[in-house]
Amino acid sequence: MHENTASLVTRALANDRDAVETLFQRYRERLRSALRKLVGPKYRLLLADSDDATQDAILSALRRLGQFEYRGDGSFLAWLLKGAEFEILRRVRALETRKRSGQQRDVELDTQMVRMLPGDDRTPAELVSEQEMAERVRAALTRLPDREREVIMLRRYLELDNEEICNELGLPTAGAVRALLSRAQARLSDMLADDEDA
Amino acid sequence: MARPGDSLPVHTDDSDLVQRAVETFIELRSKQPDLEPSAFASDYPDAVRKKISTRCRHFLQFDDFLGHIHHDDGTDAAPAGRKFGEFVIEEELGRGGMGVVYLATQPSLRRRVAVKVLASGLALSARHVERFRREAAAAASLRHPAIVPVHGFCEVDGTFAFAMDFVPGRNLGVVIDELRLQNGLDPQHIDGSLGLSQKGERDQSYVAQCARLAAELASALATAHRAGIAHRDLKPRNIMIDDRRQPRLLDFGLAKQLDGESLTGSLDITGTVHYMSPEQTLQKKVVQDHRTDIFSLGVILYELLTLSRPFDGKNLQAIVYEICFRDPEAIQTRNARVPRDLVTICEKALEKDPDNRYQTADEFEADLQRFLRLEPIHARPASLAHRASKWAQRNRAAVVGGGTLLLAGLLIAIGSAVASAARKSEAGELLAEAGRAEASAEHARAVDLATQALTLLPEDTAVHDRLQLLRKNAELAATDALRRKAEANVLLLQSRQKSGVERDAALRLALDAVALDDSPRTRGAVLPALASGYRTLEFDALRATALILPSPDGATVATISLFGAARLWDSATGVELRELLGRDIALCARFHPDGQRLVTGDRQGATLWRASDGKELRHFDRDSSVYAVHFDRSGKRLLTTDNLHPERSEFAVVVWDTETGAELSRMRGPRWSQECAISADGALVASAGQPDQVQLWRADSGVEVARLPIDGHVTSIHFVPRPLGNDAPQDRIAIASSSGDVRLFSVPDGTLLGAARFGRAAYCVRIAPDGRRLLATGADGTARLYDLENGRQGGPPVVDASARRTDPNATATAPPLRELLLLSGHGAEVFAADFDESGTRIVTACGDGCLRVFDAESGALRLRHEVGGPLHSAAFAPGGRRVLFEASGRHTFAVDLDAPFGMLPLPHREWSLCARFHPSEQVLVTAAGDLEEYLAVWSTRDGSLLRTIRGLPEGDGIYALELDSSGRRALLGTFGGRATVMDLQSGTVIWSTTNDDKQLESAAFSADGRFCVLASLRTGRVRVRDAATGALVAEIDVPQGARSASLSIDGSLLATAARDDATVQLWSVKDLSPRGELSGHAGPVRSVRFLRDGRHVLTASEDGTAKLWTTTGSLVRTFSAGEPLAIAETSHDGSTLLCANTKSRDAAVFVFDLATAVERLRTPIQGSRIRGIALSPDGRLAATCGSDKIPQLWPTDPVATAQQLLQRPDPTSRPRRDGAVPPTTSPR
Repeated sequence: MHENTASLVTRALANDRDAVETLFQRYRERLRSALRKLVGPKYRLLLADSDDATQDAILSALRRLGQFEYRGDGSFLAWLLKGAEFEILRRVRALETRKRSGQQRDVELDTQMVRMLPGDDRTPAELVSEQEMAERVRAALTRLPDREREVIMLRRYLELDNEEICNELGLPTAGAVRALLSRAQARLSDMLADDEDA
Repeated sequence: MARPGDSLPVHTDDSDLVQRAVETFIELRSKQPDLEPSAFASDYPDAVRKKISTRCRHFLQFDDFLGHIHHDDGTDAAPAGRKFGEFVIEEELGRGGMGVVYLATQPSLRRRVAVKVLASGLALSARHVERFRREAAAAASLRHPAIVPVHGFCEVDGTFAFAMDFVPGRNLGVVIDELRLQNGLDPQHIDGSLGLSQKGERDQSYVAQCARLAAELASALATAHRAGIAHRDLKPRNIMIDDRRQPRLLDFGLAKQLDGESLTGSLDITGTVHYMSPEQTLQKKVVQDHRTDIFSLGVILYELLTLSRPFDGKNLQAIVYEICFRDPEAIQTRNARVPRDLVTICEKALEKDPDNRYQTADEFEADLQRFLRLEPIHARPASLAHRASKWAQRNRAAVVGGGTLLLAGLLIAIGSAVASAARKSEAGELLAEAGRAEASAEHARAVDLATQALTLLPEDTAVHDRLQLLRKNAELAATDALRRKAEANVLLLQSRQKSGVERDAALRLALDAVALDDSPRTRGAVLPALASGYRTLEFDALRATALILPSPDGATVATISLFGAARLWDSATGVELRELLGRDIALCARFHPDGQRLVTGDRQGATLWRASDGKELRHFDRDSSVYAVHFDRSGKRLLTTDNLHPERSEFAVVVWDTETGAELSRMRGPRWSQECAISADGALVASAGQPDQVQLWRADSGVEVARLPIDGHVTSIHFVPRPLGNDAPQDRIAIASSSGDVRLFSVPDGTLLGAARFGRAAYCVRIAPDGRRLLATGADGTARLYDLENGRQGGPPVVDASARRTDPNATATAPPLRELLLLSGHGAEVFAADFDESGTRIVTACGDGCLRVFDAESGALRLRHEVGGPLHSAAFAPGGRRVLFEASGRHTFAVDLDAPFGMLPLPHREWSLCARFHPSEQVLVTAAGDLEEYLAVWSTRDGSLLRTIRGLPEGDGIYALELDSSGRRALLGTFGGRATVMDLQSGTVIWSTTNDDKQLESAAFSADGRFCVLASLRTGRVRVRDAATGALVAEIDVPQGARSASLSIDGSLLATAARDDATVQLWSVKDLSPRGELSGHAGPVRSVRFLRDGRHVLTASEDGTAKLWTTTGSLVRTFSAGEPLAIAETSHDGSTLLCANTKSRDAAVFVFDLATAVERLRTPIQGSRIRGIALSPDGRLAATCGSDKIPQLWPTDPVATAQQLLQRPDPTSRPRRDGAVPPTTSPR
């Protein structure tokens, strides 16, 4: 399967539409749940977790494969997640800007949106704190060494198992993955502590 | 082995200890989920205890946030643990051309290091090893916070390795990649963060961050250079931003030493060449020193500021060429936010000649620091000399002046000791002239004149100062012009992003760009802002999102937002009229056929509203969520579908009496699809409550009358209204399903009348207003139109409808519906489609983000409107003027089809190579055809197709088209060699010749309409014929083939242009005697044309000019385009000249003022190779034909058009009482 992904990426780099499509199908669900965790409740609130926003974001990221020189070093999946995250954030920002320039009624809209979330029993305050956490983690992640960030993305966000991560990152054993993950998470907690001090 | 540690900075802080402790905690915690941070930390020294427990808590927070995962790997295998010398290898960090980098621990010093093990294939001679060791030792002695210390060089069994500090951090190359990702293509300005610490200054701008990073790197370089070490392989991948947010330089004094000495000497092709200096790429031929690092740092600074590399190319040679010989694109055109001083600094670092760069990294750093402190920098834009020499190249005439200058200088050198009075006065005159030049903004000339004055009076300080001042002004003006140009470019980019979506904003931005930089190119770039061709209205994005529908009169639009708010809008202006404030969120809506009321479905039933004031009239209680509402044609009966028990997936379809609110009947079932429909007379209901079937039941009693077998999920149900006339024996129903089946049944008996099958799911069925055609769309990217007449007659009667239920593959036996049209060309699935009221146009909503309008008769594409984001719905508003559609579930738009402006696409089904405006009527004629030739007549007012003329004699494609001056006849020349004159009114052929001269690419009438001429490019034969009969009047052979031929007003003179000939020959038609030649073009003439004033001839040449001549051969005026021209023509009123380059795909079209030869516009309008051009009689409209089958009709003065559009009150807006709904007309 890993071999397959590699060859799909090569084909996608050559603008092969089918390959892009296949990659998309293969990773859509994982990316979707990873994006949800990464961007936080705002993602659900503003985009209502709409299928096509996510779909759009992932596909846009995939189409940029060639333009942004995915060099094949590092994990393809982590790269793709990063690209999709940027796409989603761009949309969220655009909506926020529009909202700010809009009228006052939007304040009500927010609480209405919270009520609207299906099956969500958290209060607005809880959602806000969850959003804050998501944003802090995201900020901390951007400061992490590339490899360490990747392992967190793969394990904690995309929920790959250790064997898949071995493949993605070219690590020899599951033990190596675990060691890297521990190191990465320890450093991440340092970054999170840093932010709090600041 | 080297003694590591002898020159090492010893870790003074305990961060490594804390880091390892937290790692241990994380490991332990996965096995002991109740391990507490404080308990765990108590085993550690006091100094770090608190730190460790805080960080462990943060980990737990993070872990909790993501939801714990089980660390049940089952294995306890320790990581790698291989040894290299005294280092224990933990894991591989990266791999390069030279070897592998590992993370390792050095147990003796209890620290982590990075070990770079050189590929064992690198055979190093003893001399190399020694030199390398020396270099490494020197590098190890470098002390700078931004330099990663190298601890030493060691050897194990013939394999060499360096040990250096392990720097946990981010690679600058990856950071740049991400910034690119973040900023997208063609960013107008660049935003983001390099992840550097802010040093107390909050929110430093991106540009300042770049400058600061460059300064810190320059400072590190300076330290190294002072120690006599150059890096020689500076590139983003060798720069880290560490986890304290400090920049760190890797691989000092290592890489290139090896490269240059012991490797092949060939350039490293892994991407590093981009950052090499010119002298480096030339390798050993030129001395390289530390200044190569300054260049590389300049490249990095450029890349940071613009997110693109200054020197790039498809292959190594191209990149090297760029590095050595080309100036990079101006920074400000790529990022307008970079201040001029920083541009100057960067450009100085990027000077090709090392002597022109900063001579030391210190100087470089100092200038960057000055820039950051907002002080004047020391570097000067060195390009003035460059610019002067380029200017001289452009202005040969001025160089003659330069010669005078030289001569004057010579005279002085000869040594006239005393400045004569004459000289003084001459200098005075020159200076006065320079002042005048300066006043009229001719800065270059002013500088030139003052320079001449200075050569006359070299000792005169006043002249010297004056020259300095003029130079300074010239420089300022040049910079200012550049800045304005750059800003204009940015505005145009922004305009382009908005075009097609926010028309007015796009136009305003484009006009602002013209105001900043009024050049033909900028004016040309206004056209794309007009390009959408149709007025687009966007409803407030957050407030109108999920669902749209027009009122019966088309004046009002109802929307349901994603958050359940129902709102009414004025469909002409997009102004919100009111929100329907109900007891609950709305899920769906539909207008009552009377147009005065509408119904919405909500989570407790359905509500009937009065549209004029938003008053709730009635509520239909259901206690569950209503997902769909329908009215019958009279509006007396209302159909609702609700989700009865979400948990049990049960649903109910209910029929109500609209006026009394009474429930008439209902049908329950497992929820399979919420699709349902009520027949026009309100008697029958169809619902998809069971898998693989549609139930048909009576609306008044709820009695089931038939079950219609379906394969898959039902995606769309539509009752077929009885066609006009009395020939309709029965009612019918059309159903589409996810299996791709489209089936037509008769009702109520359920007989299968016809079927069709899509390759993938079918999404939507619609019936033409005449009831005779069925439109279906599918996931295979097509919309198909079927003949319902055929479906009525064709099928054998199905005896037992219920038997069908068990046979979902009944389609196999069903008679196929006859396909009338296949509307292809969609880039993705077609989610929805709709007919207009007249049934002559079809709109499709496609997943590729494009809205398309087709002619329902011919299938011709009439409009393609790119919105972006998948389109889920599209519908004609009643009246057929507007199309409402919804993009990506986030935006609701309306396109006004009757308000075209700007660029109008004229889509053909075949190639169209030529177009001609009618001399008096407002129509344009285009000729098309490869397989089937035809003429199309278009309205120049709105680009609509008025008629097509078919039945032309076959000729292998029309390559030349001309209308006579009355506009009644058309002359056609074909590739196959057939010449035809036809009557445009009747569409009949007057005469047509046989095919003897191939490639008739030029055709013309004499202005009096008596004669015509056709020229063959293949054979070179030019024939003059009687326009009425086709009788041959004269013929002449042109060597190499005839490019173009034209006749004078009375047909007595003939002008011919031969292939590869720079002259035009004039002949007397009567006796074919030469009557002179037009000589003066420097390249082959491609087209020649007599003007209708009878006195002038126009030529276009590959030398980049068009020329206007008298018929006696003297040159009147030259129009200089600077690109090879192939066609030119003038408007009949003598105001305008249009010409085009046809060489390449992005070649330009030019508009000149005919009287003054001033270029007004240039634009690569077609985006494909231009084949033909036409200019309207008044010169205000142009048409261009390209190889893309879509000729464009566009205004030659788009700026005026844009201004008009912005100023003119919107013709569609009506005066309206505030808050009131416009009066509605009776339903159609």
